[in-house]
Amino acid sequence: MNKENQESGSISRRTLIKGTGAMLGAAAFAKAMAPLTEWASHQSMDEFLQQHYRELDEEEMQKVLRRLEEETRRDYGVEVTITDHKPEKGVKFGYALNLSICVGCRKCAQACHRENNHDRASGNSYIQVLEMKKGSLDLENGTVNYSGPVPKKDAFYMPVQCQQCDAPPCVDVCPVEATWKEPDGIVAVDYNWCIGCRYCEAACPYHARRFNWAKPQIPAEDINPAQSYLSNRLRPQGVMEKCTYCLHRTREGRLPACLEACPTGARVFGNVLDPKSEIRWVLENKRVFVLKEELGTKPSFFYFFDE
Amino acid sequence: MKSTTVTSFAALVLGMGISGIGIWVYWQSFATFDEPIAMDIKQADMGAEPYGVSIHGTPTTPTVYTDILTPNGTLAEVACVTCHTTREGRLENRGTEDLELFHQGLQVQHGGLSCLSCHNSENFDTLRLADGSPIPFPQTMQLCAQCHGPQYRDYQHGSHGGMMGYWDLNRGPRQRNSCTVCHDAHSPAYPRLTPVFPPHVAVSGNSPHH
Amino acid sequence: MNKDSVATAPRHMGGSHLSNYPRFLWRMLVMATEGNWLFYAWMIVLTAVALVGANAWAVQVTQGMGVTHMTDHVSWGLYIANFTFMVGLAAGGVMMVIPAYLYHDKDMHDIVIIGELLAIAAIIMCIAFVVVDLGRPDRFWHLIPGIGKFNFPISMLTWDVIVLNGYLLLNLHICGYLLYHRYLGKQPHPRWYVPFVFISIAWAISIHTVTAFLYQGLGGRPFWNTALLAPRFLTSAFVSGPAFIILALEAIRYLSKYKVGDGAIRILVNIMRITILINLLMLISEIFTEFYTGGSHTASAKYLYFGLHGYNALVPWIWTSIALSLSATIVLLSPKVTEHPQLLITACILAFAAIWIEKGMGLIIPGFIPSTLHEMVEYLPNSLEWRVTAGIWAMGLMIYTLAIRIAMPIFSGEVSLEKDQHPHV
Repeated sequence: MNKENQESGSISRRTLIKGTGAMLGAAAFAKAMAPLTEWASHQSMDEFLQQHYRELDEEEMQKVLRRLEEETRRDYGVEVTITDHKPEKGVKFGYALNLSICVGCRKCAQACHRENNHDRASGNSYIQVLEMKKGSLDLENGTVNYSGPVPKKDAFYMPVQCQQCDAPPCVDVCPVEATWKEPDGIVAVDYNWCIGCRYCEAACPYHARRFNWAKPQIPAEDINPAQSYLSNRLRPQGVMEKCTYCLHRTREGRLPACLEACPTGARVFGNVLDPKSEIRWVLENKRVFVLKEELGTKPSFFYFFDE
Repeated sequence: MKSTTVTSFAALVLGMGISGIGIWVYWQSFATFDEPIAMDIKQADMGAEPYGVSIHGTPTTPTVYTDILTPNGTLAEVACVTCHTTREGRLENRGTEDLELFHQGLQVQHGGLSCLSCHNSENFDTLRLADGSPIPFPQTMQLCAQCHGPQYRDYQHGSHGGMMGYWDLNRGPRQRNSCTVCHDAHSPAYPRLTPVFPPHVAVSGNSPHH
Repeated sequence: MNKDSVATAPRHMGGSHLSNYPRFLWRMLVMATEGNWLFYAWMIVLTAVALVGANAWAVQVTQGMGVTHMTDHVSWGLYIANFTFMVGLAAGGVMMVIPAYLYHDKDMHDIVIIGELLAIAAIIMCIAFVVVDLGRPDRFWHLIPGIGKFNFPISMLTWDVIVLNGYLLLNLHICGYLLYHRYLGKQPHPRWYVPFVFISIAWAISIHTVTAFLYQGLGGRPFWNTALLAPRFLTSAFVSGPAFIILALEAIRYLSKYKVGDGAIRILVNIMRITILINLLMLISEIFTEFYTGGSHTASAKYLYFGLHGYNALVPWIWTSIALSLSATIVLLSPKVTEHPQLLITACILAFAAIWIEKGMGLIIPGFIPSTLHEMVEYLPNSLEWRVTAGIWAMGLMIYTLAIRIAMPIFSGEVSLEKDQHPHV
């Protein structure tokens, strides 16, 4: 009898200790996760539940665009217009770059940085300019960390950006179809659908993709207010982004920012389906090549040398 | 004995499953761009493009400043011919060493050309083509094109020389540069530049090992 | 024989599953919170480490992944390195299942659940390592077929989602079914678990193959783009898996009263003796191909083993791994290793650490260095990444400890429904 009492007493004491332990554990867990719960309370439910870009109808898209404009106003203190530029029928974009006249001034990279609302501190850009040794096309002999004055005698310069591949490895690997090929050839990203696994960044052979390691920081007065859903709107933290051939410009018929910034005219842009276009002339009359052709990515970005 | 039967059966089922999936994957194919190409759509509305290409920076007929003050206080500007009707041009001049007055400080580095390869000694307010026919200054590009045919051809096809505006002339105009915007006619080599900084590897708060 | 025992299983014993199953779950919960002081101390330490990790992850989600040392050049780091290794560990558990079920090894059959439980813990860790690597874990639902968008079959990552979760479910089912029936005191019916065991054997191979395919299908990353990657993954998994299980068995032997037959350990050692040699052979083959061929294709291997252009952060890691691997091989090959537990434990620790480096940092990081444009940007994890990683390891060890803590008494018959109902009989 006595022994049983003791046992039940020890059991209830043990239960009490267990209960206290569990409570302490739960409290410690809540404390540990506090930054996350705080963060979660600032996330909008509409954004959380938003459907994939290609599932949104016109009306839903308009709602999303207004919400994004509102968020930009709230977070950056600036009025912007976000449009959903659609591809045009009969247009497929092509880009060519004349390596004989590129001088390596990096003005294209700088223009990209400004046009596409990149984080200011990182100096990010979708374009990397390689200084290559004359006589070699092996990227191992190139460097991005060169300084002036340029061009140097024994070097040529090769800007590399998204090649808008027709067989894009980044699109194949994406587990959630957050990146896809648009009818005009642009490989687009839905920044509101991407889960940030960075598989595409590993798959891209051209170092064309960038990850938003933090929320981009830009002073209000530096923000380019003419924005598009699939291109230069301010990206959320933790998602992938990439060059879109400035689709917010090019789908309006304008030239991409990197081309306008090029002082030598090394860049040629246009509709490859238009036989009278300049890009077609280059493709037909210059001996063009693509980067890493052996990988079978079928780039829509071409390089050539004069003579 | 029994387990081997089970194993081989399992292997068979698995093998069939895998080949089935394989065939399916093959049919599904990988993401490739195979939109039907509608060539005629763009061609239909070509022809008359509502906007054109304008060339900016076209040279004008040059003038020089004299040290004579005009009544309104500015220096008098005169045409080249003002002096050159009395002074003969010298065919043998290739450099600037022998030139005086308004030509001082002029840098010439343009192949083996002499002054009169391009300047018209019969009328210094014009230029001359290789066949001797005069050509006005605003048409300098034609003069350049005589020797720099490939560059001129490329220029005409938009693959040499900067531009701004619209790739689609149905929707807006385009501006081009004249040759001399980038290339000084007397010393046409493109100047060397100081490049802007490349993007940093680091992102905010991040210091990778470099 | 099995059939008979099932047919004659006393029905009066437990009543319906409706009352027995909750009772079983409750009993497991009670067991999971009971133990000696060593158990409590171990669990408290693990909880503390896991909480530190959880906090670090919360900070990372809030402030963005810029708080890690990953960059656009080296965009996967310690997390994916550990993920890759853990997939191997999960697959390695199958090395107990094969002898137990394919060859009906008695000793192994008694403890096969140790391997299956390891698979469960390891897969949960894998999933955790993927989740902490996501920039937007809040959008995890985009990956769920039906409500999200599931890029199947083209994206190998979707295959990985399927095989990892499938493997987890398979092992949960097998372990849960066996434990429940042992608890009821019934003979498990082979129909309800043997087919799943056989599927799980093939499935174990598939999880590591698919994970290798994640990397080896990327043409832009020559270091990974080799057909040998999947076989290498498997052999190394069959080194690290048995190594960890031997360590777990030795721990059970020393820290609890349960018997672990020498036969099981001998089989695992024999497996390791072969797999560690094959693993070395494949490593040599890979190194030969890289360096004899040469060219810029070799840049990553050069960077890993010797350093490139003055960058050599991974060189000490990989040579440590090779040294550990060789030492483990020598110790394992000595005929008397099974007679000296200390020696065996040392060899297993060496082999485990060697594979952790080789299949982790040694595989993932050089794939990114030099970058696809041949830029040299190095990577070493920072303290936040180590904290998150340690947290996940602690969580995994916690799950594994609890699982064994529950499974062993049930399997040994020490805890059963009958004893619960009639404690004083």
